[in-house]
Amino acid sequence: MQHHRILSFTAQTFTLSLFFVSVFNLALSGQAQEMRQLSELFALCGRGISFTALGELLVLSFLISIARAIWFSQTILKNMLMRNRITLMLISVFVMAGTCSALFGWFPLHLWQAWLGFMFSFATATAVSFTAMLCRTQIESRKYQRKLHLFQKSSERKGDDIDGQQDD
Amino acid sequence: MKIHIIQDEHITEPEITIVCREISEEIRSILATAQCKDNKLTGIKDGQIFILHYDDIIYIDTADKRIFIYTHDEVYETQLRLYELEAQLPITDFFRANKSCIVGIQHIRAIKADIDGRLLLTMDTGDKLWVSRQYAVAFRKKIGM
Repeated sequence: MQHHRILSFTAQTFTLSLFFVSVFNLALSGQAQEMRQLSELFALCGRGISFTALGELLVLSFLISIARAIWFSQTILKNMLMRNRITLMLISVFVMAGTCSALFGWFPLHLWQAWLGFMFSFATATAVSFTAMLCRTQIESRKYQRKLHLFQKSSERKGDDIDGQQDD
Repeated sequence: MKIHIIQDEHITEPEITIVCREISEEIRSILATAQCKDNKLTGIKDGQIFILHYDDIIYIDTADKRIFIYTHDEVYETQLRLYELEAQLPITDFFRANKSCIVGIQHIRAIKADIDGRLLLTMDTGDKLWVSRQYAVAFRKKIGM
């Protein structure tokens, strides 16, 4: 079950990261030549994402999923507050994304503009993830409310039927 | 223990009166058995024992290793353990929300999913109770999700 969750979350994270890289790829296609020299992630800038970059993004997605499984586990960390879990998760993602960037040459580490871009991307990805999570819980809440209401109605009816039989 | 049985053809509903110095384990057991037959529980408040119908129970919670029964207006203490209450109460109307709490489903006013898989219940009384992730699974099945 845990393996299934990790793989599922890896797929979600991978899809999201591909989306972001594709958007950047399209947005920066005008400076394709320059981007190819600056970043391994944009080696095929304007023409797609290289297999190497796909593999690197998959590695990062998998690492993020492992971190998520650890920080949000109720068996490994039983009594940790949710806000602490989220904080640790964000720090882990930031550190792992930074490390992968340095290892895989996603951006030149000596350029402050590149770091600014990295921070901006991280903040945007975090904001999008949280918004998606909040939307999902709101949809879930509405579904719970609807199902509960139906359950309460059906239980009431059963109770009334039994009372009616007893009165008879 | 002395047992007196008085038969009277004019009595419409059987009545049990227990006269004792204190409520012992034996008496608690007799009470629990008698209540089971009638969809009722007993709760203690200000030293008096009250009969509570299942329909009136909003939730049952634990505090300082004592078990309390919450109705719309009052809070009663019970000598029964949580697992005994769980076994006695009808599973269609009640469910275990977490390690220390049993909730009356008909008295849930609102339900909200949390990002960590827990559920926040708002009861008819306005009290808020958490359904832990462990018990949320069974609850989901119960309401057909």
